[in-house]
Amino acid sequence: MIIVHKKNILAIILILLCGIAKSQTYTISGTVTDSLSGETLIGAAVIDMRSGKGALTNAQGRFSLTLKSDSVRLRVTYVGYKPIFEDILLKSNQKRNYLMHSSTELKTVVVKGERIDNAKSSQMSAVQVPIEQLKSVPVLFGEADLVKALQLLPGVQSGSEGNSGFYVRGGGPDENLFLLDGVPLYNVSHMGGFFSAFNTDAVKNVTLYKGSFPARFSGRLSSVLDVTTNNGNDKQLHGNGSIGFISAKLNLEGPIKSERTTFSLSGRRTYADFLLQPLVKRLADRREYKLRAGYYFYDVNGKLTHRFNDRSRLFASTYLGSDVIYTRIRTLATDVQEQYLNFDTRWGNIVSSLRWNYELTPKMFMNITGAYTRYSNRVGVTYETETLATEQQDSQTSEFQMDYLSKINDLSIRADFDYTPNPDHLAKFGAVFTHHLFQPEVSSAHLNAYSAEVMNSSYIVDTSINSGSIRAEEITAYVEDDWSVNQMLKVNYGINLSGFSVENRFYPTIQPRLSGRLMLREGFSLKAGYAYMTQFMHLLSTTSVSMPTDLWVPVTADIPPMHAHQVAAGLFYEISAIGDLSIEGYYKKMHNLLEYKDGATFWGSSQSWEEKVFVGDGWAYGVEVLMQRNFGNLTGWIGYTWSKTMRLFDRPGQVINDGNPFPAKYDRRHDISIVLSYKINDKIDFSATWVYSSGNAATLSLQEYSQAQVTANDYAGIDPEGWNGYIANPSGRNNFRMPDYHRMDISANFHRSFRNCSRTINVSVYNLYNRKNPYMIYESHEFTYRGYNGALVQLSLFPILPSVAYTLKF
Amino acid sequence: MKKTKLILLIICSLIVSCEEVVEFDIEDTKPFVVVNALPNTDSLFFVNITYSRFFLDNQAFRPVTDATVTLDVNGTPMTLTQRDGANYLSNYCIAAGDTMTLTVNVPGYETITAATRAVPLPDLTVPIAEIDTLQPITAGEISFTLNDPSSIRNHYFIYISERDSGTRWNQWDNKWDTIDTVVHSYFTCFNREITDPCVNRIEGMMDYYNQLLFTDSLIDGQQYDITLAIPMFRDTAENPLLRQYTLIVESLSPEAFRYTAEVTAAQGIGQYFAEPTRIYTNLRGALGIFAAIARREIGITFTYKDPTTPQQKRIHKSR
Repeated sequence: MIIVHKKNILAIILILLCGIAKSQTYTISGTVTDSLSGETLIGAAVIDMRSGKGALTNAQGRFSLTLKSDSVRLRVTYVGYKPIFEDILLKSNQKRNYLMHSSTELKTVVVKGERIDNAKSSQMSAVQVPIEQLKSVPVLFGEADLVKALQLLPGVQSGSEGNSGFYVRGGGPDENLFLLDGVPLYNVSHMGGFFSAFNTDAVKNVTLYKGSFPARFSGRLSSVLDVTTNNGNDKQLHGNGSIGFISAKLNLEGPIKSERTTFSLSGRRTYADFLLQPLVKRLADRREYKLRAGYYFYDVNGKLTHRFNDRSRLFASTYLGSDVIYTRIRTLATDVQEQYLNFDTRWGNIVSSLRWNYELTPKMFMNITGAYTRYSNRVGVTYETETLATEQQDSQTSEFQMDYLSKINDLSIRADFDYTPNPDHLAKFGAVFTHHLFQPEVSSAHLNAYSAEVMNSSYIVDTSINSGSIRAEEITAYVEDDWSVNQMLKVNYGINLSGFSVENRFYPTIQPRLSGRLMLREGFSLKAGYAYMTQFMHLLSTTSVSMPTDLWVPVTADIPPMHAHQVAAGLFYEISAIGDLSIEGYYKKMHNLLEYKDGATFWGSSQSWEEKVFVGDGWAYGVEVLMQRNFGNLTGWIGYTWSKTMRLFDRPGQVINDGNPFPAKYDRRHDISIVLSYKINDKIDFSATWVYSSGNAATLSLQEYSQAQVTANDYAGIDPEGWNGYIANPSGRNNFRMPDYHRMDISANFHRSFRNCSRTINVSVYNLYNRKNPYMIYESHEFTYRGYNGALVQLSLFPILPSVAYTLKF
Repeated sequence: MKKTKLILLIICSLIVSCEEVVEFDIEDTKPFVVVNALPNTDSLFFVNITYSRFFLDNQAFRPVTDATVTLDVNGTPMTLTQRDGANYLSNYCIAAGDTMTLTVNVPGYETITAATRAVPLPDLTVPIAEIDTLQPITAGEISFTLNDPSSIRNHYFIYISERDSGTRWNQWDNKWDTIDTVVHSYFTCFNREITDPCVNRIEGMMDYYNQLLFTDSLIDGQQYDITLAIPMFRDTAENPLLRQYTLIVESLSPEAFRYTAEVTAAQGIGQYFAEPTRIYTNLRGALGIFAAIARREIGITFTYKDPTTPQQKRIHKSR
């Protein structure tokens, strides 16, 4: 355990801050927004061309640039927008709000110079992909999906075909911090992981951090996906609606009170249940038996923004998403008795936040955020019988209900400050307090029987087991500084102090972060970084497929926090006419990882989850190559990853695989992705992706042997035929590789503008050459199975799948 | 109708069964020798020796017929003779406290060895069996007390069985065999205070168990009362007036306990979601188990005097 010395912490903070203070100068501050929508732009560069000093806009589109010179020439740039140049005579602090014109608006082709300066940033292992580019990536059923597009980046892998599971640099699916407007989202999967919870129509900006995490982020080991949603158009009401293969979407945004208050509202729902209902009815319904069954998911994003003045804004945002599987069976058991069996499974998130953004001084911004986030899943079964009164007996009803519930609730408040004393420093500091309430497993049963035979005679039983809630408090404080030491060297250094209090136990941690950039020459830099991360909660999952039964559980007095050290280094090169090339290598060591014990799963209530898991370690290393192009008519990227991910569970009494290292389930040696979009003209653009990866690891038992009969019966021991059963004998955990995975998808968008609106028809084909990729492999011992005595059978999910979507924008 | 066909076509295109047999390029590995011996205090000692099989084979396990098997009991060696294909028999019945070493030599394989010790069975009070006919579902209850010996780690395995007869398809001879078999009954356990992590309550459906497997780490040296309730349905048995059960209490050696726990966990209800695992073996140079069991079987009979009008709770004898 790390012991926190208060004096040491104070000293570190003072050292961090003292380098920031410099001589008095003048400050230009303001916001950069889209001229048409009034939407603030995140990451726009504001640079003084004379001194070379500059700043980037923050998550609220604000910038602060403090300069010495009297006369400055500012250049404001952002991907896909025409640059703005302005000469300013600087004799006092200046307020500047820039309205940028997009290339679409100007009907011009955006060319070089307006690109993300990847080589210049001190941040490494971070990827920012323009949202329009993510939207253009062809995906399953034509449903644009942010997470699945990001899976195509090097270092990021999906769990299995079509899955939105997220495995970053050898980390598990629970080691990713998904932030929606700064608030954690626990489950980002819809439909068993085939779609993510993010509706791309509501998203403004996405940044993925795979390592070298800035100190402001904590709580997960492997990645941070920072998603910012639209504030809403402050000029006029706009919207778009689309109908796709499986879902319909509607997005509306506009001013409520001109240019001061805006709203943005997006909703999405699948409608396969409506379409399938007639079929289910036709196939299943008989006089004495009726079946209604279906599945759907929906999500709603809403955001209200109010601008009090140029210095003060208030944001209220909410996300509501849910998946529902339902089955209703009505059986006419006899002429007087009906039986109803209902099965419902429902899981989803609610995230709400209220944020006040205030400019304390031209050099300092403040964000105060209060947030609530909840993830819950519920499996419920209800069985009812209703018997009508006859001459022989009176009426009777009975109802039996069983529920399984798992929930996590967070209430948090945080304060974040951005302080820009001069162009050489951008300091961020703040603190977060979170109250967690975990209810990992709650099972309840309810029985209500009523008989009219005896007047008002009823029998009611209510019971609830394993309903213990776990309360926990998490507190975090951080400080970081992005320091331009000189033209060549830039450093981002910081520290994150976190503590987690649970079950009368307090786990304090000190998490140092450091990353630096050495500019070898213009457009060519060397970067390196180190991050120490701690995670205070786990997701218990037995499969690589996202399931509603996955349990979020906290660390406890017996289960310690996970922690990881990650070092990374890389070369970044801007090839002027082509794009940005990066080559990164990383090594990550992880401790206190959880795995289910051999043979244990989420099934069964006789043991608590703590009794079903072992604690162990892991490590991962690899090389990632990314060639990315964000400008011009041809955009996209080519990525390659070579990686290795291992696990070791050899602690006393907690041994898996005989205490020997074994590959993690999502260990893949090679991973290639090519994502290209080409805009032919304003009316047509094409996109294509091709992915290839080595097969997933799986455990296969190559030998089987007879089982000794442990219970008394006549066959005990005398069992050469294996009547007692047989035991599969795997030579090791994850000893087998499934076949390689590869697939090509294409899509085309056909745009047409009308007087007051425009429409886009998207035609896409998933799995163009109909590759049968492995979803799962199982052993078949069917005698008649296609003539095989025994065989390995591969199940593939998605063959070639064409789809069409229609979008109307107004 | 056209609409339905269209929907059907769309669904078929989505969920088209993309199953195919995968070419498997791993060579058939050399089979292991498998030695299974769970000697108990009720029967003569015997060992079953077979070869393991490749997982894609559907053949029966091949017996090892040319092995040399030696058992050393408390320092006295004896050689077992081969009978019935894979079985090697002795004329010795083990006793509590025996220390045994098994040595097996199979041509082409290294010498296989293992050791175990027969743990004495603790005292058991005579069970009381009663039947509760007042509830909607009749329950038969069996209560008994374990007198756990102190200062020794004991491992218990408790289950209830009901003898039954029936037929089973013999795929090797293409005929039906008549068998007299044992059906393990589900029961509820009213002693939930066993919270030792070592307790492995083998689960059946819902809140019922069909086996109890636990150590005495929390009840060491104590008298421990256990009540088991068996759900009974009067109208399902051929003879509704008589139900005969056997209560079996076993004291396992540590090796037998671990083997049993791992086998039952690997074959539990959630096995399809769990990773395949290697089962414990105490044999050096082979797979399987060599572990002693002390066993006591107690017959329990439940009868209804008048199955059509069950009116009151009745207490019945046990033997």
